[in-house]
Amino acid sequence: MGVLGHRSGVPSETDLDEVTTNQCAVPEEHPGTREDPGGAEAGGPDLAAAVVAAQAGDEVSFGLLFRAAQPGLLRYLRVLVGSDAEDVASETWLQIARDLSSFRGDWNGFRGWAATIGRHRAIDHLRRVKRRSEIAVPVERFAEIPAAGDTEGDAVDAMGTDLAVALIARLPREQAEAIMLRVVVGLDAASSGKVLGRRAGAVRTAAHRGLRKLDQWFGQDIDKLFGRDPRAE
Amino acid sequence: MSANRAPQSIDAMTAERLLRGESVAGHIPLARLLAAAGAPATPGELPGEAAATLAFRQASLTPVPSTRRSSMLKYAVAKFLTAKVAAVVLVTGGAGGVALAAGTGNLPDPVQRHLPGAAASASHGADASGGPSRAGDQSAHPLRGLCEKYAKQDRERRQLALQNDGEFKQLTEQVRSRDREQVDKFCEGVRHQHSGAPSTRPSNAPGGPPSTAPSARQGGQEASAQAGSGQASRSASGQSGSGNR
Repeated sequence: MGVLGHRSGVPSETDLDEVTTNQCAVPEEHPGTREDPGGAEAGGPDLAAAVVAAQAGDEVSFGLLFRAAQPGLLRYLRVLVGSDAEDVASETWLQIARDLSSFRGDWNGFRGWAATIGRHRAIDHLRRVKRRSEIAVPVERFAEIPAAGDTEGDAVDAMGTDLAVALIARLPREQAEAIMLRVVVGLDAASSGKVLGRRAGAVRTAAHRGLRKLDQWFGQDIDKLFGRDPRAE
Repeated sequence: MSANRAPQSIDAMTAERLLRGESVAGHIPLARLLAAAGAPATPGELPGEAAATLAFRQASLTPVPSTRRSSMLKYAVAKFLTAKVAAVVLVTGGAGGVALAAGTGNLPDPVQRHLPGAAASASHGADASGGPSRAGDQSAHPLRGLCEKYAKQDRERRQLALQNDGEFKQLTEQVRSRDREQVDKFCEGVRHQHSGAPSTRPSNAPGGPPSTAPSARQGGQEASAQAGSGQASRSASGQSGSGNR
């Protein structure tokens, strides 16, 4: 994970607000502790080099960047615009392709930059359509949410990415975005803050609140959870 | 969701560990949910690569006026020639066998030769702004092409683009500001100036004849006067000549 190496740890000043110093003793982001959905795992393509080569016009490298960044981006956009995420992702990539030569940064910076563009395009989109289209996940699948005590969690193993993202999308937007940027796009709190225009501490707090809420959802009655009977629709 | 502060509520440390993808005892379901959200990509999540690549190629081939870009352009063109696979996929609509053949250089010559042209026309169709502004009048404002391109962006994109030293760097340098409204105004002027240009040329034409006509008449009078005096001098010399003989 040499690509991510230079970002390891050292929480910045802003990282410390809203969380005690003690709690921040663990480095913010541990390269390699999480499987990167973008395919940047150790031994994967050198995405830092791909950024440089793509900026010089190398199409193959651009393809690498696309395949590495698109899944996380698409899932993040799903939380923002629901089933329109693919359209918004397309718009995002058109802009990335066009503006790549003006981008300055490494692979991590690229991910954050791509997420920022995606977010802008999503906000544009929401202004146009005036509403967020819900993610189409069969309501029966929410029954797969296991009880909190179910530590074996076979049901969670079976839980697909779509369902997990759909659940996160049910959180208040700032919480959902914070979790998606950190867990799925793979940014640290500071980089997520840049995307969201907020301080790292605020992003961290939002993510924590979201996690607590998700945790409470496990085992809850579906109807109660969403304040209505989904099956009635 | 008023039960936010439940007894077993996740503390900040635990939350950070979960966010980093660690499996935390007592929160296994949550850890797995996050793992599912961040699971490796599925093929279904990679649509649009061809379109993105086409846009990328087009962007690479559109010269941004800066010295650094010229070498990048050459590089992009060279790379493009080696990237026939993507091109054939686009041209043939993704016929795998053909793509493979192209990649190994085994396509019949006409097909291979056709590729750059196909891509060029495709990119031309996708965004006509590059061509005309580039090939267009050299007499127009030098930043006119860039302004045209700039004007096609929506407001937010313009704003974003001006913050970077990217393709519109020349505009921010010219205006000496990254302020969108100022650059908007500048470009409005440049574009207006251009659209006004053709109408100034015909207006020269009617002005021409009236001004040349009097001078021609004057010239004619002078010429006939000279001719008359010439005749007079010749006849005078003739007279004198005959007188001398």
